[in-house]
Amino acid sequence: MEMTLIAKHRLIVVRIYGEIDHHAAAEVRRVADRELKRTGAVNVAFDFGHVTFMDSAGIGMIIGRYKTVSALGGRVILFDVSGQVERLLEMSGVSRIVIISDTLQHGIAEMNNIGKERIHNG
Amino acid sequence: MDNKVSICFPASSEYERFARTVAAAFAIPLDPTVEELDEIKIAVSEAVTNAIIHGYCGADGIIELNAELDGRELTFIIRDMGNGIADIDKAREPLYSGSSDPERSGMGFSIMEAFTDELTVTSTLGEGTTVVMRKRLADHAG
Repeated sequence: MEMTLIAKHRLIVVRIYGEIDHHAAAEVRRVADRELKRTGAVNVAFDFGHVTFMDSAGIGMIIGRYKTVSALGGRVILFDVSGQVERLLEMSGVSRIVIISDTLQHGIAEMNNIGKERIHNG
Repeated sequence: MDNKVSICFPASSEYERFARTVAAAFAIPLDPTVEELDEIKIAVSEAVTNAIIHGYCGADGIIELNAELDGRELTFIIRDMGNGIADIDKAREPLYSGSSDPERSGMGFSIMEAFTDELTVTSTLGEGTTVVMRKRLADHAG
């Protein structure tokens, strides 16, 4: 797992390698929560480009991070997601509460657009 | 019966990958599609994770995985000798989680159901739970 901070967007990017099951999800959760706290970021992006498998433990992990960052006014971005993972995201309804994009740049753009809309409409 | 294997392994989370990899390897001679293989891995992973979290509640235990092959029909039987499930219908409801851990999505049984052709769960309190999943692989053209 690798972590990058993009301070300008108050965003941490977590690159996950391999398989996300109940065993591995605990480690992703631990690292993401620790880094959110340490950096003061409110948004988290998960790079799924190197994820080879995910089961419902991954869904639980994403929903958990969604709750954490939502409380801070932040968003969850998932990018470079495989067909298998996307199917689970659709089934579980997670695709409706997070930003799913092909690249990190597109995800950030969508995150900022949503923010602007909120200010405009609010 | 064309083929049958039976393995026992510790109810520990690092064996989740082992179990689904064995299940996938068992299916390989049938030349499944990538999607079918993913479905098998996920379904078995869910059943084994349930056994670890709910069957044994993180305590030591043994999980038994039986895989059977009959024509193009695969049967996976995942058995634990743990706590058992009090109300199977409730446990099978989508998004219901018998765990106090908020990170559990409660989707395990829904996924097993969606990714296999038949799911049977039998359980006795104090004796354990058996999950039987059948999956028929699509016939290949040529």
